[in-house]
Parts: sequence; C-alpha cells; structure tokens
Amino acid sequence: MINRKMKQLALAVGVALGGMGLLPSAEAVSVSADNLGQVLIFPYYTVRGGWNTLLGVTNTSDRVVAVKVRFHEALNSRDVFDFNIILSPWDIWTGWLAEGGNGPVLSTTDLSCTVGAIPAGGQPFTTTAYTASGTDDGGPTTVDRLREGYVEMIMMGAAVANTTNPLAAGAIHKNGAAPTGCGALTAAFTSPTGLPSLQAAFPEYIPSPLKGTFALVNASPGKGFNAVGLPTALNNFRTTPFMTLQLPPSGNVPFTSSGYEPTLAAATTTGVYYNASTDLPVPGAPSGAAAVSSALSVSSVLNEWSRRDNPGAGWSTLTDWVVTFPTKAFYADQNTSVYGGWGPPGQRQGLPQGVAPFTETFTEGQSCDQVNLRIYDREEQPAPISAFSPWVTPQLCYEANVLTFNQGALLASPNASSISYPTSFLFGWMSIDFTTPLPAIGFAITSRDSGNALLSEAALYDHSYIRPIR
Amino acid sequence: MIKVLYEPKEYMVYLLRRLVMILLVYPAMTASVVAAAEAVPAAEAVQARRAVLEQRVAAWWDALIRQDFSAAYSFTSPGYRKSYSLTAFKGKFDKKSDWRGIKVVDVDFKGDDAATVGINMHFVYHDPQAERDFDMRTYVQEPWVLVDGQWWYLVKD
Repeated sequence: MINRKMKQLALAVGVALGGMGLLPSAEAVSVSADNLGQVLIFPYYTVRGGWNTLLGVTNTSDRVVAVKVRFHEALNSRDVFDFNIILSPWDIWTGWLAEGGNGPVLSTTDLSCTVGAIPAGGQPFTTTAYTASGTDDGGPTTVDRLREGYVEMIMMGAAVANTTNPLAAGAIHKNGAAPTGCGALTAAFTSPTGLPSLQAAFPEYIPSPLKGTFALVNASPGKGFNAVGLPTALNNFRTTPFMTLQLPPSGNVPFTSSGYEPTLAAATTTGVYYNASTDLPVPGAPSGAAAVSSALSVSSVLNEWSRRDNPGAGWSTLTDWVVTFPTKAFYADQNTSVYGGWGPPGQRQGLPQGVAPFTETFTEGQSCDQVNLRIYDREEQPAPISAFSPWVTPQLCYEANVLTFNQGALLASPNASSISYPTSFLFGWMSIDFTTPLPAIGFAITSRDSGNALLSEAALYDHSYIRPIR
Repeated sequence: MIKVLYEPKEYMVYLLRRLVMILLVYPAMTASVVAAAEAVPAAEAVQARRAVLEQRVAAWWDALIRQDFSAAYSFTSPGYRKSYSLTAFKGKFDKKSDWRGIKVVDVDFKGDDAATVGINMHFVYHDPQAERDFDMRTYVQEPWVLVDGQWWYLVKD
C-alpha cells in the first residue's frame, strides 16, 4: 500500500517535472492502478457462438454522474449504439448483450435513468454507422459486423443532488423505484435547446467515480462459462465537464454538442504512463486522443496460453487473446461522416495529427500493423510459428483483434487470426511485440472442458504490458 | 364477313412472331409449370423433414431443461456415444445452466444428412453479486446429423 502511494506521488511529481513546465498541473490522464476512473474501456463484447456479454458500472461517489456509453464494432470502431446513463449517488447499472438472430440486442432490468430508454424487449444495434450514405469504409456492410467490438463509458459531468438542482436530483431512485425525474432528464438531453440546462445541472468533473465489471457468459450446452473481467479505467481524463445532447447534429445542434461527443479524444490532460522498468512516469501528448494513446502506450503485450487435449486427465483447453486499440479510429478511420473516426472536418475535439503510431488508414476492410510474436512453453522453449492465418506475417488489422491458438476459436470470431505451432507445445506464455509502441488493452480467455463438471470453466486473465522506454 | 386485321404479309410476320414466341416461351412455361408441380411435394418433403428434426431438437432440449442428462445423452450422435461415456457427457454438459426453454427459429439443411438448427435459447443468469436474475434470451446454432434414418445432436467440441 505504501509502495503504491509512493508511486502515485512519484507519478504526480514526475509529471509536473517531466513536462518541464509545459504541463498546467500534475493532473494527467493515466491508467488507474485502483480500477476506478472517469473513463472505463471494456476491451471486448461478443454475441457470437452462444456468448453473451454482461456490463456493469458503479457510481462510487456521492454525486449524480452522467455517463456516455458507446458500443464500437470491432473492425473499424464505428459507433453501433450509444446512450447515456444518469447514475444516482452509489448506484449500479447493469445490462447485457445477447444475439437476437439479427445482431446484438442490449437488454437491462435496471431502474437507473437512461437516455434513450432501453425497451423491455431490448435495443437492437444498427448498421447505420457503416451503411449510411458517406460512411463506406471498405469493410463489410452486414449485420454480422455488429456481433463483436468494445465499449467505452465516459463521464460527461457530475452534480450534487439536492433541491436546488432538481434536474440532476431527478436521477435518484425513490424507495427502490425508477427515478421520477428521468422524464425531465430525457427531455433535456433530447431537446435541441436543452444543453444550457444540462451544463448548469452537471457543473462538476469529479475524480474517478466509476467502477466497472464485465462478464462473458455462455450457457450453450457443454459450455456453461461465466468469465469475469474488469475494464481499463482512466484517471484524470478531463478537468471540466463535457455535457452533450443525445441528438444527432443538425442546424440547431452543432457536432460538438451532439451525441457523437464526448469520445476518448476529449481528454484535456497530458497522457502519462508509469514505466515499471525505470520506476518513472513518462508524459506524452498534452491532450486529446493522443494523450489517451500515450497513457495506453505499450511496446509488448504478454500473457499465458493453454491449448491442449489431455485424454489421461479427461480434459482439453482453448485460449483466445483479445487485443484492442481503443483510440485507433482517430488515426486510421479518416472518414468524415459523423460516424467516421475523424468526423466532419474541424468538428471532432482532440483529433491527433496523421496516422502514426499506426501504420495505415482503414481501407478495404482493414488497417494492419505488423507485430512480432514470441511464443514459449512453460519451460522457456520457444515454439516455432508455422502459420499466422489469414495473413502471411503476423499483423493486427482491426480495432478489437482476436488471436486464437491453433484454431481453438473459443470466442468463435470469424475475424480471429490463428497462430499455428507444433501441437507438442501444450501451454506457456507469449509476447506480442509492436514495431512501434501502440495504445493497447485486452485479456486472454482460457476454457477448460472436462468430464468433471467441477473442472469445466473459463476465465479471463488481464494482459501484462511492457511500456516503451523514453 | 371476315374482318381483316392484317395485310397478308403482315399476317405472315405476325404468325411467324407467334410461332417464335410459342417455341421460346412454351417450353419455359411448361418447365416452370412442371417445376411448380414438382416443387409442391418437394416443399412438403422439406417441411416434413424439418418437422421430424424439430421434434428431435425439442426432445433433446426437454431432457436438458429437466436436467435429465441420461436422456439427453441418448440424443447425441452414435459416433460421440462410441467415444464418450455417459459419465463424460454428464461432466461436460451438466454445467448448471438454468435453461428455461427454446424455440426453433430456422433450419438450414446441409445436404441430405446434416443440418444447422437456429434456436432462441431462454435461460436465467443468476448474478452472484446482485442476487438478481437476468432473464436472458439468445440465438444459437446447433449442428445435427442424420445417421441410420435418425437425427442426432453433434457434439463438436
């Protein structure tokens, strides 16, 4: 505990010093070591292969907190559904995604105020973000593209809930029932003239009130998996609120006030990561998407894997890895529609300059970055990689990438790359080394399928990272 | 008096056109009529085939929902049962998923002896922390095979 606090202190001081006077304060957007944040990034959702994704967010503060929730499809990060949750103090919201037969459907039984409302039968996602006029990115235009991706939750603003602030106080549950003021909140968020009242009602941007959890659940016969994980939490994302309407841009609603903001590009603080090898904080870009990219920047992604059949013990294992680049669209998707990463010219807050650190723009359905893979068994023996399918050289071409070991396909992703190696290698660890540091998050998921029900399970394992040395 | 509609030359052209039309269209019409006539029993056959398969799917799921894994085991393919014992099956399938019901949504026959069955699966997820039950419905696809005139659930992994 003392060690952690010392490091946090070092971080704060280091940022101030590291910026050599360029930084306005010690506040800097960084990955939270304590799993609380102003922003939560859930690295993956899926409804493929019988999988369902549960999401939960807790407001750990005594304030009413307005949160933008945005679902991005996996290939090019297009916004396939977004809405706002107005969390009352100490409130939890939960929901889940399931396959509806024509793509994912978001459902909830929660009573918290959401704008828009999630219908009792669930809210289906739409393909509009890549099928509407001007949105073509060369990728597939089918419903299937909606079936996997990642999720971001961004605090928009916070408020003391009392009688002098009836709009925000309207989010509070009374006697365990739905908030009576949700109608007024909805009216404010969906009126072209509602922004001033929202800005007045949510004047604060408080430190890290959000805690998240997610679970990948598969109830198909023979599966019965419930793998639980934590989202990546970002501290000090902004210093001021960024309230927006839940409306598309129009004559009365500028893009920056529309539901397409805020995004991860809305950071107002310097990006910083803690480098364990030097025990120093490393500051990066001063704001915007580049600041978040700095905070998430890694040279290598490391984790364990297991892929084996063990007839003697009567069980087998599968492993998939998820590697998500949550800011990649701001570099690689240069489409200027409201759904594009860049957005309408001059409108998107905090855009970076150019494609770097990524290699190429998203065209013809992909944007690839070459990587090097080092795969070892548990006794440090390196495994020769015989194939990396579908590409010849190992590369990651999407925003949320799935890697599967020897065609295991645990997550049933058709976008997965399969790493092939001799089956004599049963388990071990692997490092994905980027040629240029990239902003990445994710996890490994391993299942064990056994004749003994007690040994049949699936679990998520957070990745470990090597940060770039500067 | 016969009303002359065409000059003789024009009439010849008209007759030739009719002949060409008849030669071109009639076989096609005949073929489509014959095909339609044949399609009726073919569609009925597919429907009957689907009904038999759906009955098996419903019975398999009825056993799963009742947690009668011995009965459910009897629906798995002969190849699977040769390789895996009832105990192994129970170990794999008795995962305490709280299934409540299914509805067959679509059936995609893959040739004569295989099919993918799309179902809406209704189950309850018991959130361990919230002590709250989530009534979840999701669409999944199941592989089935026809062996010795009977449909069997194919355990793929």
